Amino acid sequence: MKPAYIMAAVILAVTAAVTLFTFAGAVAQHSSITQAMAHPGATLQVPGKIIKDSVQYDATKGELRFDVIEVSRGADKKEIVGDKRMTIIYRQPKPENFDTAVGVEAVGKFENGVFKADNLLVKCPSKYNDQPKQAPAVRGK
Amino acid sequence: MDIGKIGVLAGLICSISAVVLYALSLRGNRKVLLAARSALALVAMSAVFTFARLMWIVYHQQFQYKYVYEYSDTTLKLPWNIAASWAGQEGSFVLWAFWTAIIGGLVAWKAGKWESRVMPIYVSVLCFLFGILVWLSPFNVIHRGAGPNDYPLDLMWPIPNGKGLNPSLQNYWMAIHPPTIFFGFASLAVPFCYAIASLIWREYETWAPRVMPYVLMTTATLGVGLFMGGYWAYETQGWHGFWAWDPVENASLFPWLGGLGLLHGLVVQKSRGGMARTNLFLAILAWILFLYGTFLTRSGVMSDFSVHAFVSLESQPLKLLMVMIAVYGLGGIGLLAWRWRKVPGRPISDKVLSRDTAMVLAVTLMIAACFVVLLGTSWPILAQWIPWMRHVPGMPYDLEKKGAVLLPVAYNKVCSFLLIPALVLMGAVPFLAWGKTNVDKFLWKVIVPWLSAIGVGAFIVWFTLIQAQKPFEISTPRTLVVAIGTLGVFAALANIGLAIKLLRVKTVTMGGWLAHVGIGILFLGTVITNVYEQTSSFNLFEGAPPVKTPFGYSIQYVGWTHDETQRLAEKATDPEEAARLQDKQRREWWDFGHAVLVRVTPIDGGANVANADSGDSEAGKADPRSFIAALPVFKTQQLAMNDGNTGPTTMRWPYIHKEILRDFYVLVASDPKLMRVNATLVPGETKPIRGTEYLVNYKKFYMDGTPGSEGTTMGADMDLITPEGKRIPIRPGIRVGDMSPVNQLIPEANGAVILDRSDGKPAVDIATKQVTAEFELPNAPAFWGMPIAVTNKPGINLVWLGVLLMGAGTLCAMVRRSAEVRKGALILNAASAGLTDGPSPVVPVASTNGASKDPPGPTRHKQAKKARSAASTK
Repeated sequence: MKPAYIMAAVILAVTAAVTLFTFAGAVAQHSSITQAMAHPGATLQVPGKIIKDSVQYDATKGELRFDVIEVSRGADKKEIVGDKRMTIIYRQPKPENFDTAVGVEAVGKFENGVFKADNLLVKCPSKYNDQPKQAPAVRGK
Repeated sequence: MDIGKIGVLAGLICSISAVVLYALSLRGNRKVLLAARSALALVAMSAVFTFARLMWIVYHQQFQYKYVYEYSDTTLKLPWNIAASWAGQEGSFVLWAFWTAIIGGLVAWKAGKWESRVMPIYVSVLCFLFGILVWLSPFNVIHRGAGPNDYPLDLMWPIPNGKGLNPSLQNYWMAIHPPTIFFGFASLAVPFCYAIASLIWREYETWAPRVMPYVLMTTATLGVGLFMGGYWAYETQGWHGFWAWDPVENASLFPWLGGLGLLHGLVVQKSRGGMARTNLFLAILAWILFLYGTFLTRSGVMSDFSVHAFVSLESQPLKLLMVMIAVYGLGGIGLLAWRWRKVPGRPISDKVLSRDTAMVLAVTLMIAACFVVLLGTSWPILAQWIPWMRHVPGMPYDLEKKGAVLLPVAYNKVCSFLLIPALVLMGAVPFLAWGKTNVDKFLWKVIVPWLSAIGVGAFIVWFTLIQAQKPFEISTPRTLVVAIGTLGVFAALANIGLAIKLLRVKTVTMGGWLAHVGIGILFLGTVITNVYEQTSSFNLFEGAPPVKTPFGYSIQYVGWTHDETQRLAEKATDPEEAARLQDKQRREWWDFGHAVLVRVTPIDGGANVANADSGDSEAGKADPRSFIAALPVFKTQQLAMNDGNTGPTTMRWPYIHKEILRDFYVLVASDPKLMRVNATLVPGETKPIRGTEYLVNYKKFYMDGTPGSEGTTMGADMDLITPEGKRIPIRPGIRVGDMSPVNQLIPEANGAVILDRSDGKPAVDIATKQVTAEFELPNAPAFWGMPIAVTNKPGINLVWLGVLLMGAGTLCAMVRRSAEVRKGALILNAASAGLTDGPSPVVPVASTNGASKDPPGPTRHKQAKKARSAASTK
């Protein structure tokens, strides 16, 4: 066995271990608002319907704050609006298509009564068909 | 039938014929070969025609075509009225087919004796692409009729206008980035086809030098193309970054990493004869990964995880794409497995300190990185089936089927871990010789760049410590950052020395080293800009003094681009003219050029700061170094829906002030708002209303009714004091139940008052009884409030410089390797006439079992080796 191949095997093995360990520790699970509020501190991806009146942008803090209401899809793929309401804080400029968006998928953690989002996926109803689709939005770091 | 569709059908028929004819030409019949070439020429012509036809209908805005209707409108100007051709799925497949056909011509022309072996496989790609385009046609005309999905018969025909192009795509990169990256993707087929041909014909030596120029072309265009996309996002998306580990970006990244691994493996094979199997594997892998990436981004499986808008493919073309992956994937890997033991492996040096070892490790790292990105991108799909992949701490471990996404920080961590050995290797390899390296000499040579890099590293440490004084967030551990920065410098310095030496002797051989210089600089820039970037947010108000940012500039709102029209409209005496100008002003809001103007003035301490702080217009006049930044803010209907529940979207694009060492990145962070004049005060206070000559006196807090019952309001008992000194009592209030303000008219002053704040904060603080009252009064017009986010991006230009050097170096290497093929090919042909090369009735695939005993003869090896050494001495 040549030293090059032994070293290569070591690199691959260590990379595999580091990758699995790191990746498994940096996961955001798809969840619901109820679940997020019940498990503060867990990193989750939470869908919600934006409550338009609640949207505020604080220009001095550079912080977007809005409330979402729980939505889920029933067996017939129809949207079911729940009654759980949660405040989301996003410390980035307001996504461009936020105003036209109906729903949002927020990735982050529920902490101290608010959901701190690192990333927002803004969902716009498609122009072309009735299924909601993703539209280009901003990305957090 | 549209002639574009005829072009697609012709392409399909001709490509199938070309595959058959090329396969038949393997028997050595010259006439059949000529026929195959003619078929190939027809395929290329069909592809060019299809693409030209698509551009024609898009350019001429034939909105009766569904594709044109979806992606274009009459407002589009050059070059976007052409670039809209590849804005959608159908168009991007046409672009892919176009480049595949063009590159196919090049491959056939340059393939020499390999032509009949490679081309049947290569043209089969075109069969698939034209097949997909038969279903996924951009030439479908909108159907008119009475059905619910039809275009009504009584409406205007041809359709006068389309839906238009997403404003984010109306950027000059739209004309450059997609053609570049699709060229790269299309050219990935070449190494794949050569690898398959070499496996079928058991010709494991000569394919390597032949395929090298193509691999260099692929890696250069894909690499530069990836960063073009990054620069595009940086310029328009407003998140002041260029890479987000989005699935669409990753789907281009992992084939590129596979291609890079192949490139380095080929260098070893060409110089030392080793890594033959790895190279065959990588050539197949890169192509399969590209197809897999295409599937991921087109099929809609990633739609919950990506920010890119991709309407998922219809099922028929999607099935064809899956067949493509299955055929090439199973075929390629199966063939490789079958031949695995027969591929001659040639020993490489067993010395640790040798270029052989360094290259093996480099290729290993690239494969590792490729699989890391592949795994991360596929994670959301896998997590649906594998419970531990979606488990997060703090949540119960449940087996309910649901998805999960990977946080981008995970990629950063693993890639930093891989980068460190990669950069060490990159810095060491210029001083390592093939076979064996003299240790003392190596150490002497490596010490100069190493010490210099340590010096820069110390500087980065110092910079980190300085920066750490200020509050800011670091997402990557600092030691890792310093290590990557330092090693980036090491790699750049080590390679630049050799590149300069070669520049004097033999310019063309410096390509690879130059590319490494670029990579070193690129990563130095990446860590600096990601770790040391800082963002601050401000509110700019019309008429307010400049605001100091922490980044050496003060910023001040000065107006809108439409102000001039507005001013003319107000001055106009003719009411018709005034109305026309008002209308023009309103329309200007919809132009891309519509912008907020912000005066940016350098602050350099001392007098200037005082001057800038003192406010009013003199600050701007005083400093000749100040400039006006135009931040695009415009309206568009493009992102709105046609179901009528939303209006236009306001687009906000950043303004980037470029300096050598950094970018000053200014963005309107949320929608600009017209604010009413206001006053914030506590009971007993008398204050002027900001921006007016009125005063307001807050007498006492009041509550009407009892809390909890319907109709209870609370608010402030106030006196509004006019400039003439008249006191008008006012009682603005809010409803206690939902805290909504009540608008109160003030007829005596011809105005109104409301307890509200335009910035969204609560207008009434119950604890302190402080209120904010907003007024509408004569001669007190509303003023603009502008949320601004400014970002300091140090070192960002190192990233772009690195990319340019990497691209230039790779292209330089391509020139060198093509020249080697030209020279080498002659020698090979002379040396091995009739022996190894050339379409000869060699053993067909089917009978390989028996023939597999036939070893790659020693003579053949020697011949090839002789040829190689001859080629390299030339």
